[in-house]
Amino acid sequence: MSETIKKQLKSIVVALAVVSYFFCGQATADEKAKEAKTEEKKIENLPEKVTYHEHIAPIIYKSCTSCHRPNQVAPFSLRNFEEVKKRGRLIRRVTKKKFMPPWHPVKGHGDFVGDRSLTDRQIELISKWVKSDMPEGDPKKAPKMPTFTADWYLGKPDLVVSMEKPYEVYASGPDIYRNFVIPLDIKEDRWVTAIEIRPSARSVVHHCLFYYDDDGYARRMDGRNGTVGFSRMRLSSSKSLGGWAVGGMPYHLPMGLGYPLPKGSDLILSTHFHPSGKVEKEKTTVAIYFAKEKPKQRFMGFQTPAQYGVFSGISIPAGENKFQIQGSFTVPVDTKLVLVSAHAHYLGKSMDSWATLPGGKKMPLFRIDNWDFNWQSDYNYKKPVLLPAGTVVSSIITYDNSKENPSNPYDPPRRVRWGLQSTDEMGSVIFGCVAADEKDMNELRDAIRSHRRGRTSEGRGGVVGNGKSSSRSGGGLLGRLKRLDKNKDGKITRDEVPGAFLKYFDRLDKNKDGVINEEDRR
Amino acid sequence: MLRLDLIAGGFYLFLCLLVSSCHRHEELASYEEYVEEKQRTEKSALTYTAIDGSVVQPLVFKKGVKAKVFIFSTVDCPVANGYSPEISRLAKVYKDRGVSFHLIHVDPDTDLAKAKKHAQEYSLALPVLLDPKHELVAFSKAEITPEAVVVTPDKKIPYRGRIDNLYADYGKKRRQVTVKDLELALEAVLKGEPVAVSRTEVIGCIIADFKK
Repeated sequence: MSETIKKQLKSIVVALAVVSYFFCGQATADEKAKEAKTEEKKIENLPEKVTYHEHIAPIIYKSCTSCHRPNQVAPFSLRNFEEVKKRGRLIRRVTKKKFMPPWHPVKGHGDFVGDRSLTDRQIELISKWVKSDMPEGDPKKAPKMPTFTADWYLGKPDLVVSMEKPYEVYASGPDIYRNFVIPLDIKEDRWVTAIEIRPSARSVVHHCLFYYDDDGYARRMDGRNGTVGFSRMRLSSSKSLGGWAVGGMPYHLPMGLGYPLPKGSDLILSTHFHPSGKVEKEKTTVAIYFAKEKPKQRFMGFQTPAQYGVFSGISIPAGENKFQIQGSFTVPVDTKLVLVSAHAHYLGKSMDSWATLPGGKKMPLFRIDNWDFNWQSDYNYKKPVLLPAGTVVSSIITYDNSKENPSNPYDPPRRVRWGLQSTDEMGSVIFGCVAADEKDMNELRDAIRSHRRGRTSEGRGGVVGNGKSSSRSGGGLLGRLKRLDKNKDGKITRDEVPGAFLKYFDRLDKNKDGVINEEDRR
Repeated sequence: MLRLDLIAGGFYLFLCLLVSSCHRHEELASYEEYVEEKQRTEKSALTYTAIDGSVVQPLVFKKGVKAKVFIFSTVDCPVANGYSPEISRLAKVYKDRGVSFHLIHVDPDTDLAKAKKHAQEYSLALPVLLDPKHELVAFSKAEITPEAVVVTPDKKIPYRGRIDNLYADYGKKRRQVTVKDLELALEAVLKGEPVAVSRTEVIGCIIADFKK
């Protein structure tokens, strides 16, 4: 009896699935027709004759030339008609693909400083110009070529420091992630408003994240394997000083804010290198800008889900092309979001963040549809986003562990879990914020602290569609820490623990012998 | 009556035209082939000075040369430059097996001095030629740098396309290469077998941009 019911249910489910598939198919077909129509419309509105000086030069000057000029990071210059014409078809192709100019957040999900993306109209203008054989037009209609300062973009820095020794980047091989320590020798606590970077080998430095280290860890690790720098980085977003990626311009934090930099700290450059085909030597110089006085507001950060998704049950089956985790944070007081960035590794596909306001209204905050591990950037909101107390900030991170994901580090795909190596996974959207009223700062800070420690189920988040709010597989925190025991000697030393977990280290290392092992299980 | 005659006559005329145009079309096709063939034989004599000063005839096959590989490039195509070590490796591996590699610059603004400097910087261990008039480009029907073109002594092109699948798209580099298209093609050619995948899409810089 129950067998037949099951069978009937099954057929109903199948029928429903077929119907819904049909409807979905219909919907996408309609959408496509709509898209095609709008595209036609766009083309109709384009000028009859597209010329370089009148239509193309303004786009190039605004969105390309800052990088595409001599001694900058881009491979060739785009400064005049001849140079642009010489790359015309390539420019048309890469702008249509939205590979250039590099800009990843999706329009309509946050409004950010330095948005380099082209509008659909601009892309079509370029396309039409190239297709009509790239006429030069009237030079009198040309906009003025922008001037670029040879000096630091943000003006006279407060401090300029360089790596002591160059690091050699091989000609060919996998991308390199390496950390370098630069002593700063600052005698009192400071607040960093901006860092501007000047690589010596611009063609290989793809992005750089800045941190400070105030316990000498980086100095101890530096040069351990015989070459400059060190490869393992203890993650600690609380020690972040921002970051830079190719094509990015440096910006001061808004509202007089600054990243705290305790006295005596070293600067850490966490640099991503793209080998270029020839051996390069990189000796980075950075300019640091300090706030004139202690910021009136405390700059803080929270992640959704918390702690790069360590509590969210990241365990992505081989071949799975849509694995999702989610997590949220409820702001206890009126809060202003200042900036946002995202983190995931090679399997990360997309991330989507939104705020649910106390009335239930949803507000998009940030979205990346085509996550690329190579482009890790901070995005500053043009205007800080005010979230009233009780607003829930949520994110969904999507992973693709199928063979079709060209970034998949494994062939054939393998199950991938949370971990520190770039071939492991992580995932969170990271927000920089302040309390709208500084009087509420403590309350916000405490909420963030407890969120970060995984004390709330919304913060821990979980796998979407799993029905569970949190995955506890692996025996809780100790189990998770034990996974860090890469050499499988049954104990974990401080060196093996990422910065964000050091506070747990002391809690778990009950007998205070500096290692976590079975003895500490008592 | 008269009208019917006119119509019939018109129809006949139309048929004649149709037949003759088809005929002309056929003739044209064979004429094109003839021109192509003529160009091929003439191009066999194409002579270049390589950056080391040696005289190279890329379409002349000396005894023992079973295939030639042309890699089209520019000095500033980042994708092509990134492949430099792999190109040098392949040139070395296949040299002893009767395959000679050439790197061919397609940017007319690249002169011998620039090409020489570039070859030194990227340690290119193969003959480097300049093709400012895109004669070898036209022969090879190459479209993108770094496109690899395999030519056999009968002037056929059994493979044209990417070196391997390192790039999935612009800016999308695979963590590891999973298909080595050029090597597969060369292995087939050396065995006298047909190349399984004879045309592949290349990610890189568009050669037509450099046409003067």
